Parts: sequence; C-alpha cells; structure tokens
Amino acid sequence: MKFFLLLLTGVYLLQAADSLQVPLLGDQPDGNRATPIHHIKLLDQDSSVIYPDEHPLLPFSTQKTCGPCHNYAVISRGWHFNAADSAVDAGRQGPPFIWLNRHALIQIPLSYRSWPGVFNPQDLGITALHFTSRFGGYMPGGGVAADTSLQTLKNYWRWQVSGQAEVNCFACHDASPLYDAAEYVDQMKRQNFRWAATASTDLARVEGSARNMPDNFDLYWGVAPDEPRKQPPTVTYDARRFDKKGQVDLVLTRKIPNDRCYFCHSQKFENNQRQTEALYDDVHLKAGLHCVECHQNKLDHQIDRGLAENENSCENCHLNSGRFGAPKPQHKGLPPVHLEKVACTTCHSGPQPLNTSYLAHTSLAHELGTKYAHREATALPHIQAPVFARNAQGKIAPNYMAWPVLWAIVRNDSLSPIPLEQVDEVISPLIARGDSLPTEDWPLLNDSLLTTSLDTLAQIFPQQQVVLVAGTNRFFLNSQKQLTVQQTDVPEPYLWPLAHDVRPAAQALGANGCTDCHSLSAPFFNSKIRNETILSDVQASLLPGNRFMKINQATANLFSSTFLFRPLLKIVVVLFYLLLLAVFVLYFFKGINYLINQLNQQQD
Amino acid sequence: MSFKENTDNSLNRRQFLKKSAAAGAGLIFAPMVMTRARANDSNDLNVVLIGAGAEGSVLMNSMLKIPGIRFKAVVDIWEKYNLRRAVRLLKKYRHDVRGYIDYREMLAKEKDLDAAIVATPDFWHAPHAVACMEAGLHVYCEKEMSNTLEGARKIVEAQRRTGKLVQIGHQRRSNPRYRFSFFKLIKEAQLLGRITTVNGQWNRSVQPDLAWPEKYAIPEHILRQYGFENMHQFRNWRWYKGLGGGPIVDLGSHQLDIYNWFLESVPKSVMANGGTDYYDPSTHEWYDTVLATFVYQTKYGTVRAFYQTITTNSNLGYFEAFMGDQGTLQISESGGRAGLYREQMAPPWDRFVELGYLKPPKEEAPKPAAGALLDVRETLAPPRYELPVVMRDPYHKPHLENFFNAIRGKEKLNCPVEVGYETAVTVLKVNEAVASGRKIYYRPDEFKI
Repeated sequence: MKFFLLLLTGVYLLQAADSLQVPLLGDQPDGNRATPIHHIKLLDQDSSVIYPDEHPLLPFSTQKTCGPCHNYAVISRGWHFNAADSAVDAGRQGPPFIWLNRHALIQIPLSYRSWPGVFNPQDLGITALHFTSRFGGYMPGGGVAADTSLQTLKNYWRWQVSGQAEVNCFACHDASPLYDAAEYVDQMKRQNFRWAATASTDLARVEGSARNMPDNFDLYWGVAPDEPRKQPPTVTYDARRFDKKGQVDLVLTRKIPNDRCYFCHSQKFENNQRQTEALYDDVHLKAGLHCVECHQNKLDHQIDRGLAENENSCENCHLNSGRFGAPKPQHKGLPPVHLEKVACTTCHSGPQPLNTSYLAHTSLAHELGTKYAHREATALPHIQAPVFARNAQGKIAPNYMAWPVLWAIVRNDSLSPIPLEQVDEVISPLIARGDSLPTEDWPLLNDSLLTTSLDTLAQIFPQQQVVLVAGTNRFFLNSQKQLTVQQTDVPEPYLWPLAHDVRPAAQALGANGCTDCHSLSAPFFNSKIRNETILSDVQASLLPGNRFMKINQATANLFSSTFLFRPLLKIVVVLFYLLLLAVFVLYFFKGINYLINQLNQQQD
Repeated sequence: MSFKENTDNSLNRRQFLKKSAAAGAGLIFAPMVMTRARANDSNDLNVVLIGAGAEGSVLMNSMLKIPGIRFKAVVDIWEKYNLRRAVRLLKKYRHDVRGYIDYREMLAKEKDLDAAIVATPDFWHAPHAVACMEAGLHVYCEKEMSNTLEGARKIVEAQRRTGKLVQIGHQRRSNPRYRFSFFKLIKEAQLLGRITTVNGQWNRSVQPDLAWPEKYAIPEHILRQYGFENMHQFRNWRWYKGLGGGPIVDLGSHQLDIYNWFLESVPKSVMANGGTDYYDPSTHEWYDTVLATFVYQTKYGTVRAFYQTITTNSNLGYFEAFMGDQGTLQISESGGRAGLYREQMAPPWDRFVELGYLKPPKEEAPKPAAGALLDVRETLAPPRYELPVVMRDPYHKPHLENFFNAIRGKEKLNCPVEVGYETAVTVLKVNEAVASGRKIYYRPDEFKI
C-alpha cells in the first residue's frame, strides 16, 4: 500500500514537474509564422556530437538531438505514442494493426488500446519486441517501441541489440522530399529500432540488420566475425551535410506535409462493381487545407481526432464557427431528423456504398507504400467498408470492419485462443504444402486439409475441442471426426470509423434525392457484407449489411416503399389543394354574390 | 462439408476476451527462456564473472539460461561501459549483483562465492584463476589458459595445490554433437576407419579494429595499472604480444583441441608459416595468417594434420575434417557445416542409419557435368550423411552446465586443466614455429606437469 502511495505521489510529482517546467525554446511558438531553420548538431544516445568521419558511428538520437529545445517527455505522451498507456482513455475506436498469418489462417485485429473488439497483443503472447518489429514501421517511434515496462525478460537481450525506437520526430516534421518512410518500415523489420529514424532521413544510410545479430551483440563490435552474410547495423552519414563544427541543416516544419500523414493513413477500395475506387482526395485538401489543420495538436501532441465536440469537427466548422471559411450546408429538403440520427460521415465520407461492401486496403494493414504492399484486390487482411453501424452517440456512421480469424480451444463454453506461435508451427507447414497459387488471399482449402489441421492441433490439446473461428463460422471436428461448422456471433468483428476521403455536397448520399438511401434497392439499407468463410463452399458468404445499424429492417423497407407512392401523393395533394381552391373560389364568389344581393335589397 | 447447424451462443465478447487472456498467457509464458534469480536452495551456486566484455557477455547469456546460478559480482576494469552494462543487465534478471573494478577488492569483500568465471584477456587468466582458487573458488577459465606456458603452468599448479575444480573453456568438449561424433561414430562405430589426415580451418573476413566511445574511455592510469598502454590496446588486446596470442590462439585453439581429442594424442611436430601480411603490424603484432602442418603419432599410425586461420577472407568459414580410409567426418560448431562421407570401397553404412547413428543422405551424389564423357579418373563427391544430434542451446551452455554439475558432484569435468594445458602447449608452439621458420618438435614431457 505504501509502495502504491509512493508510486502515485511520484507520478503526480513528475506530472507537476512537467507542468512547472520552464518552456524550452521550441515549446511555444513566438508568433512568427515562418518556419525556423534548424542548423544544429546531431547527438547520439550518449549525448556525443556526431562527426561523420568518426568510428564507430552511432545513429543520432531524437531525444538527445531534439530534446534540448522541445520537451521530449511531454511529446512522447502524445496520442501517437501512448497506445499502451493504460491510464490513457482509449477514446473512439481507431485503426487496428492486424496480425496476419496466411498459412496459419490467422487474422486478428490488435491494439494496446482497450477498444471494444480488438485483441490486446499481450493476451495473445505477442511481445512488444515482436509487435514493434512487425508493425513499428507504421508507428512514429516511442510508445510500445520504447516503453521498457512492456519489454519481457525473455527479449531483454534482443532489446539491447535492437535498441529502442525513440519518438521519430522526422516521421511527421521532416519536410525534405527525400524523407523515406518506406525505409523506416524496412529498418524496423530488421529490428534496427535504434537506427530507423536516422535511416529514414536524407542524412544517412543504414545497412545491416540487428535481427541477425547474436544476443550479445555490442554497438562497438562493428562486425559479426564469423557471419559474413550477417551484417550488423552500420550507419554512414553524408559528410557533405556537416559543417566543420559538426552542424547540419535539417529541413523541418511545423506544418506537417500531407505526405507524412498519408504514409500511415492511406486507403484504397476495391469492388467488383467498381474495379478501383481511386483516391480522389478529400474535398478539404482540394480546397487547400492540410490534414493537420483539422487534426491539430499542441506541444502535448494530443492530436485532434475530429470528434464532434472538438473545435475542428465537421459540426463546429460547418454549422457554427465557419472556421477555415467552411461553407454552411443548406441541406435543402433534408428533414432535420437526419442530422440527429446520422453522422456527417455517413453521407459525405468514403466511397459511395454499393450492393456489396468494398474490400479496403489500408496503410497499416496492407503495408501500402512499401515493397511489401499487398496489392491484389482480395489481398489479406480482409477489411470491408463502408459498414454502417451505430456509433457511441447513437448515430449511424460508416466504418471499416475486419473479422477475426483464429484458432481456439473451447473451455467452459468460452474460447481461448491458441498461442499464435504454436499455431504457426503446427498449421503453417500443413497449409503451405498444398498452397501453390500465387495469391495474397487465403490459400485454397478443402475439407480434408481443414480436417487434418484441426486433428493435428487436437492431438496437442487432447480431451479439448479445438475450433477455427472465421467470421460467423466456427469449424470443428465432431465426435466422428467429421468437419462441422456452426454459426456463431462470438467473436464479433472489429469496426472502426471511416471518415475520409470527404466528398463534397454534390457527391454526398442524398444529392440525387431521398431514394439514394430510401428505396428498396438502395445499398445504404440493403447492401451485403462478406463473411470470412475460409472455405469457398460454405454458404451464406454474404450477410446483411445493416446488422450493425440496429434498425428494424421491415420498418425501413416499409418506409422506403412509401417513396414509390410519393410522386402520386404529390398529385393527390395538388388535386386536393386545387379542389380546396375551387371550393374557396366558389364560396368567395358566393359570398360576393350574397353581398351584392344584400346591397341590392337595401337599395330597394 | 458434412453438415451445418445453427447454435445459440451466449458467450459475449467481454467473457471471450477475459478467458482468452488468461488461457493465452498461461500457455505462452509457461516455459521461460531466461531464468530469474530465485530463492536460495542447496543446489544454487554463487558466481562472479570476471571480465564482462564480448566473451563474458556470451557466457553470461548462457548462464542466465541455466537454473540455479546466482550472480553475486561482476569485475571489469571498463567501469563506464562493460561493468555498468553487465550489472544493469543482471539486476534486470533480479540477481543481487555488485560491480567491481579490481578482482582483489572483489575477493576481499565477496565471501559467499562458489565459483568464478574468468573471461578476461589471456594474459590475465593466470593471475585471476590462481587468486580465485586460492580464495576457495572453483574456476571456469576461458581458453587460452594463458598467453604463456608459464602462466598455464601456474593454473595447473594452483589447481593441484587447492584441489578446486577448473574447467578450461574449450566448449566443444561438451557439445553433444562433438561428443556423439567422437564416442559413437569414431570410437564405437569406427565409421572413419583409420584416420590418416586431418584438415581444418577458421577463416574470417577483414575486420576493422574494435572501437570505443571516447566519453567512456578508461582513464590512462587505470589502463596502465592493468597492463594496457592505451584504449586501442585494451580493445584489441588479441593482436598484441604479451597480452594475447593472435588468431591461431583465439580461433585455432578451439579446433586444435579437437584434433588432440579425436586423435587421442598430442602432436609430435609442427611446421608453420604465417605473418602479419595485411594489417598494420604496429597494431597487429600477432600473425594475421597462419598455415600449420602437424604430425601425430597415434596408436593406429601416423596422422598428418593441416590447419589454417586467415583473417582476410571468410571462405568456407570454420570446420574440422577427419579423414580416414573408410570415411570423412566434417564437423563444425556451426551445425550447418557438418556431414559424413563414406568412401566408395567402405562397407555400407545402412546399419548405422537404422541404428540412428546417421541420417541418410538427402540428395544423390552429383552427377558429372551434362554432356561430358565420364572420365574414369574423376572422383565424384560421395553422398553426405548427416549427424542425428542437433544442438539448439547456445554453444557455451553445455560446457558451463558440465562445470556447474561437476561442482555439485554430478559429473566429471570435460576439460580439466591437464587437457587445457596440452592444448595450450599444442597451440602456443605454433607461434614459435612461425617465428623461427623451423620445424618444431614437441617433447612428450612438455605436455605434462
């Protein structure tokens, strides 16, 4: 208890120290809108100045290089870096990382944030080291890649070899056109965490791989003596960039170029009905805005996520403040109930809904922008969009959606996932043996192969039921060892909001009238989403798309059907009014006639 | 698909995740790879690591995987780097460890030690090992026992005087693949027939000198106090006369030890050729290239053995090949280079395959080049049989385990001082042979103390 109190006090004091700290030179803008020039020395992890001709050469440290002028401690708690901090509110769902193993038939949405529907990597035995080397290329350093409290003893030596990936300030602030985010991904895959930020800039090249080095590799060894094909990480700086004092010019900017955001936040959509929904760019960007003008942050790097209550939300700019010259929407003919029940993004974001959902490719899931990118239309992992569902405010909004596909043991009616490494070891060789098709989709499976796979895992877990869960299907062997499939709602798919690209009014749902949504064939209420079937012959591979909207389908259809009669209704109304007018005119003239008669009588 | 059915599943996501987490963690974390220090029990051994550089780190890594080993102290004169790094790492593993610059201070203060692991530069092995034995500790001493025969002799004498156990770090002696090869394949099955020739090498690529961060440099007076003139010498001691023995000692020692072991003999003579041909002789006093030929007189007859170590090209890496009239055993600490090759006229090895002594060849012997007429003088490469023994542990772990189990009275040492001394004599004479340019003869009594 005392320890706990001390810990709390310590945390409080640290926070207080942060808040009391005198702002550093770069912590507060001085009002000058010009971009400051960074003519500075690069410092390594030991705070030693880097000179390009010294030996050994270390990568520069962002903490040591940028830290003297920018409060690294505060920045490193920003939204992009705090996913694993359990004290941070998870907030609205966001894009997950997806653990994919094609031959092991695994597709699991992951996040350290406690979003409903994602799996925590730690619960699946995925260590911070493994997570970082697999996904770290699409994280701007810090957080999981540098949080020593997450590092297991098992991997302690490996962390000594790889180093930590400090907050990569360059991932966002480097305005050089030669900043290479794909190189950063590559370096992280090689577990060159310590070197990755340096390698991604145009200041240096990094070769070799920490992943290949033995546990006891030391930065100052230089080479692996008996492994000529295993080159240790080595950095070579562009000596021309250094002056005699060891200073370099860094091309940095406060106004983050869109390209920096795009690398991790791009998406494309594929659908048989519309081969490729090309990036047509967001209407805001076409109008000259930058991503960071809506998604702002201050020194604390708490990125504005576009939530309704924020200053830069759709609602605030377009309905209230007119910020950035945002036009006030007329929404002519749109019953106000829509603004109460439907999010702005429903009509304005993402691709136009079609009869079946699109397959979406995202940077995080498909490694877009690198040589590793999954390019086939049906490439795994399978993410669908738009899937309309109620959000936390009860409004219908478009989402991305991914089904988990995993192997598990049924225990007391609940599912316990089998450790991923174990599945990989047992299942991958079986599936890989028969996988000769050059595809990025699931390998071609048949009943026999799936039966063998389930049976092989069952031998490792005797007396327990092993299942493969894919979408709503739960595959298992019955007591006669026959392959069986049940329909299940557990686990549910993971959904996260789709907000971009934003379409202008002319391309919004409803621009062509109410029947854009309110008709019996309109995709909004009637589209289908794909089930994750694994086996191609499993029926019901399409499911109703409105299952997450929490609406009564019959009511919706009934309401939609009224639009069939609405043109007739107009005629009836017109006739009614004409009749009313005729009656009115008739009585008017009758009244006139009555008045005339009365006048005549008085004169008489 | 056999049948489909619908079920009403009442399990919700929260329950699912909760149970998943518990089960997943249980399944995953059951086998811990590295062991944490735990509460003392009678089998636990308290150890000090003397020398926490590259080799010390290798040994430390292996020892952290051996249950019942408790680090109590680390000694290293590079306080700001090696010592700090090792202590921090061991504390991470919850070892109650203290750091020392000087081994004498450590021995004076640490009174609860069972064993010392000596992984310092060669010229410090004897002072460290002798002092530890005299303080009542068993010693695991890295090879080479010493850079001089005088130093090696002091270790043997101290061992006999104190009665403590001393294991010399020729770790292949405990490697299950080497032990299987010697005891099963050579001795029991006699697969090689009469060994007539041995060939071995350790070839390495060109390497830059080891560097150091200036801010962590050891103060000059400390360096001099411990026998180094400067940081370069401290970091690259293996190349300096008086401190190390050069590549033939660093690398060749491991493999010449295997020559002696597998031939059950020691050499009669050595002729050697070498020099510092590539590197700067002012910083590389020992020979960067050595080619040596030994003659052994075994109980089966004369064996001629060749060995080379070069540091300018890594072609074919490192291995030892024992060639007999029935077959060849090529073995290496690196598992991928091992294999057995049967001579054409030798009896078939099928029986040994059935007995599990060998794994059958995976591929047929390569055919002569297509289109070429078979030249009867051409000798085709024989099929490659594989060793059935796989070693997944770090290379040094079995040898350290043997040492600790010997302390516990459960095993005999695989490389006691007498064996280490024989190897030291074998190896150190090679440098003599290079220097003199003459054939050097070993006297049988030179190997004994």
